[in-house]
Amino acid sequence: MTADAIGPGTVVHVEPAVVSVDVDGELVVLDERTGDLHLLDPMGSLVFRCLGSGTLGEIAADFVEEVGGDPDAVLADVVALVRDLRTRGLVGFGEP
Amino acid sequence: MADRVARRRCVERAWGWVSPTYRALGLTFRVRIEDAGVAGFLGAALAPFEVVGGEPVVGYDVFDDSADRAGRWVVLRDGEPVGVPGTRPVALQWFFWDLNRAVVEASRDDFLLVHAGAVARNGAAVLLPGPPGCGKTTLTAALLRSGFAYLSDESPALEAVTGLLHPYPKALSVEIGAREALADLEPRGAERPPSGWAWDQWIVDPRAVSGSGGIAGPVPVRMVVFPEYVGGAETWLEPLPRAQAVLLLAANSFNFGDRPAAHLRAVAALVGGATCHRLTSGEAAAAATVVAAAFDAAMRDARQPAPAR
Repeated sequence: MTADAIGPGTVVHVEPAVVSVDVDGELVVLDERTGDLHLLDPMGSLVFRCLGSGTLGEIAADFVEEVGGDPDAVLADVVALVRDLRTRGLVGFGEP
Repeated sequence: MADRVARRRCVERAWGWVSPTYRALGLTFRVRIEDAGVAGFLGAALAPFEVVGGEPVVGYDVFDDSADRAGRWVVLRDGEPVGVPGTRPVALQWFFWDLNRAVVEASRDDFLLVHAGAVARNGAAVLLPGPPGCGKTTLTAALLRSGFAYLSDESPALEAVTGLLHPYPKALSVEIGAREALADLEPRGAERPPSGWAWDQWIVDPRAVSGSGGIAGPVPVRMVVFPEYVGGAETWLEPLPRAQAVLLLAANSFNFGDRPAAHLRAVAALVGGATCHRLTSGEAAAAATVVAAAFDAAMRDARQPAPAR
């Protein structure tokens, strides 16, 4: 799957070599393959924790139910985040 | 061939000074030097590492290896040459360079070595990470004057298992840019570097700093301050999000990449128990006053009982 094809039905997993720690609600994410560290803001951290629990559409719906917001806008934000995470090599598509 | 000759000549030396046993983090060592004239300088520089008893694991020998005593000084570590032969001060500089390297190598499996200054009082540490030139040593010395005890001006060591910060109490290296602020620390008499010393640094025993609380033992970190020296700037201490402090601590460590997942957890635990700040300052005494006050406030807050629910 290409990053352009990401949509509400996509299932995403965190790569096995990725480790994260929660620091005051923000995730610091380590890619052990490269040694690179990444910082996710609180919203990005919340979505990151949910990856693998369902499709992106389901995750976005859960997010709207918990936090509120426009469903289409939230889904667009989730997809944009996943594209970014994919570019950084932190997530893959489907089951790990 | 030359190395074998140097080793043979080493055996035949009459040593002018043989040090006591020293320990720096994971390295136990001793030094022998042919010229007793630099014993005062070397002794002052290494004094914070002195331990009572114990057998050295590593031996350094510094001597003039030229047959005609023309000044071809060499350094051997356990009989193996370090650096290239040169004048006596050049040999001493190779010794200090290699000692620092050897301490890091002997300690990197057990500790995360942070490029930082560090001081402590009342059983907790202030960690001052930053790149060369950010003002670590100057601020460390200023905090010693405020009664703090010394951990390091270069590389305190975080023990991942316990979360304690261990001292690496090497002598303060006062760079040329810090001399005006620390003019009273200029070494005098026998503790001065030998003639020809090329480094633009004063080597200062931290215990000689007026008001210093001596050398601290392993302690938890209660405050992390990333200093930045800006000439002429007013002193400004501002909060730093802990997650950003994690990234900066990783970037300012020597061996984060050795065990990145374990070190990430250790650094996250460290900042979780500390307040984190950025410091901008152009004046060391004012910076020390602000940092000391913030540290004392953090310690008071830590002692407050949690509010009842």
